[in-house]
Amino acid sequence: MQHPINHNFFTAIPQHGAVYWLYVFATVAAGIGVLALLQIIPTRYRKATIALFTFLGGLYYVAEFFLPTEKGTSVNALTEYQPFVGTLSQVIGAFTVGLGVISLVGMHTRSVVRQRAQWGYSACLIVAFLVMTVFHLLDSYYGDHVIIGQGGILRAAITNHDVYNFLFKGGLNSLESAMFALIGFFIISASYRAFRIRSFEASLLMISALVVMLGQVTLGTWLTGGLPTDGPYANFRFENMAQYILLNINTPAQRAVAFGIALGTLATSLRLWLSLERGFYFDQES
Amino acid sequence: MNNSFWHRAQNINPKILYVIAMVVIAVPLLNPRTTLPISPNSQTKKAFDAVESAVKANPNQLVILDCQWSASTRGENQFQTEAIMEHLMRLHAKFALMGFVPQSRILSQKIADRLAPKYGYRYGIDYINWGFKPAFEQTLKGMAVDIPGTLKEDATHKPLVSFPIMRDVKNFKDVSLIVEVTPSSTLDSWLGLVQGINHTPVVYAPTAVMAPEGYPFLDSGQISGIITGVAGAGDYEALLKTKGSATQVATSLSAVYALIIFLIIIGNVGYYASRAAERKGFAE
Repeated sequence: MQHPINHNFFTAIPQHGAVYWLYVFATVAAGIGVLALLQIIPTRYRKATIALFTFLGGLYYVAEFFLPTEKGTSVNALTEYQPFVGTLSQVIGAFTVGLGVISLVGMHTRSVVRQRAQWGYSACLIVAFLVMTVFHLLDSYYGDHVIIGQGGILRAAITNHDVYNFLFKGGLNSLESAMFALIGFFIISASYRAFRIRSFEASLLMISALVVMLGQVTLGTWLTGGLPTDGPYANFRFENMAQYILLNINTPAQRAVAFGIALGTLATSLRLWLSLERGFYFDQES
Repeated sequence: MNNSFWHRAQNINPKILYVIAMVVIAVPLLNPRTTLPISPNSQTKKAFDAVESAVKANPNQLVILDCQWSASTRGENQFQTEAIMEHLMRLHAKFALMGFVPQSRILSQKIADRLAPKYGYRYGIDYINWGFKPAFEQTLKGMAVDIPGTLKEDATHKPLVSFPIMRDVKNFKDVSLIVEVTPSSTLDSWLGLVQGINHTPVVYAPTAVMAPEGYPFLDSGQISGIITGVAGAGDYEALLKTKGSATQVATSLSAVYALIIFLIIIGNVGYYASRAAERKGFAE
C-alpha cells in the first residue's frame, strides 16, 4: 500500500505555459539571489550556512531511511516528500552545470584574450561550445524549420536539424567513439609488452586472463566445442572454466573489495555530510 | 645491441601491431559470411529468460530500459540496447527509455526509431522516452514514490501523465523489469534503492570490463542475468535467433582476442628464448 499523494507545495503538480515559465524564472531568480547573498555575507557565516544546508539535505535521506515504516508498507511520514527533494536535487544539479559553464567559458575566454600558450585550443572550445549550444537549442525548439542555407551549389536547403545532426552524429559521436576505440589498440600493444611470465603469480594471472578471455567470446566456445557438454570432460570447455573463475574466484574477491569500498564510502559520506572533510572549500578562505 | 630474432619478437613496432589489429578487426566486419557459431553463455541465457518471464507474467506492466551510455561506449552498449529492445518489441512489452547521461536520450531514441516501424510500435502508447535526468540517486528515490511526479515530462518536454502508456504507472510497483545498460558503476544504486525494496527483477548489461563487478549480485540473486559487452549482445542475438550487427562484431572480437593471445605467446617465447641464449652466451 502506498501513501496517497496530496498535492501541496512539496508535491506540486507540473505546470505549463506561462505559469511554467513563471516557475522557471522564479527558481532562477531565487537561485541567483541565494548565490548573491552567499557572496555578501562574511565567510564564517557563509561556511556555517552551507554546512547547515548540507546537513539538512543529508538529514532528510538519513531520517527517511531509518524511520520505521508503517506496518505492511515500505513508507513512512517522510517518504511522500521524496519527489520534491529529488526535484530540488535536479534543480541544484542544473545550477552546478550553469556555474560550470560560466567557469569554463570565463577561463578559456581569458586565455584567448590574453593569448596565453595554446590559446587556439581555448578558441576552438568556445566556438564548438557556442555552435553546439545554438544548434541544439534550435533543434529542440524549432525542429527542422530553420533554413540555414539554400540555392547556389546546394542541391537542397540545409536546415538547422541538418547542421545539428552533422555536429552531433558526425562530430561528437564519432570523436567520442574514436577516442575509446584507440584504447583497444593500446590494449593490444600493452598486453603484448606487459604479459611476461616472470613469476608464479604472473603465470597465474596470465592463464586465468586467457581462460576468461576465451570463455567470453565465440572463439573459445568454438575451440573446445568438440568436448561433451556434460561429464568430466565438460570441465575443460573454455566457457565452463571461465565461469568457474568468475563465480568462484572473482566473486569473493569482488565482494571483499565491495565491503571495503562500502566502509570507505560510509566514512567519506559522514565527513561530507557533517562538513568535516579536509579541503572543504571555505577552509581555504577563512 | 641484441638484434636476434627472439629479441625482435619481443619488440615488434607498435605501428605494425596497429595495422595488423586493424586488418583483423576489419575483415570479419566487412565480410558478413565470416561468423563463428555462437553458443550463448549461461548469464546471457538467464538475462534472456528473465526478460521473457517478467514480460509474460506482467504483460501490462512497464519495463524500464535504463541507458546510461554515451557515444564513447556505443561499440558495446549500443548492440546490447538494440538486442534487448528488439526482444521487448517481439514480446509486445511496454517499455520506457531513460538515462542519466545527456547523450543517451538521443542515442537510445535512434535505436527505437529504427526498430519501431518493424514491430508497429507507437510512441507514447507502446513505449516512451523519459529523457535525461540529472541527480541519479535522488531521482531514483523520488521515482520509488511517484514516477510521473518526479520525472514530470518526457524527452520531448510533454507531461508524462498525458501519455496513454503512463496511465497506470505510479511507482516501481508498476514496473515488471529493469534493464540497466551501462559502462559505469550504477548497478549498486538500482539494487539498493529499487530492487532491494520492491524486488523488481534487474538485468545487468555492462561493458565487458565492468562485468566482473556484477557477479556477486548474480550469485546472490539480486540481478537476474548479465549481458557482457558486445559478446553478450551477440549471445542475445543468437537467443533471439537473429544475426544482427552484434553477431558480426562478436566474430571480430574473437579475432582480436586470438591476435592478443598469439602476440602474448610470441612475446613470451621470445623472452624465454633470448634468456636461454644469454645464459648460453655467459656459460661459453
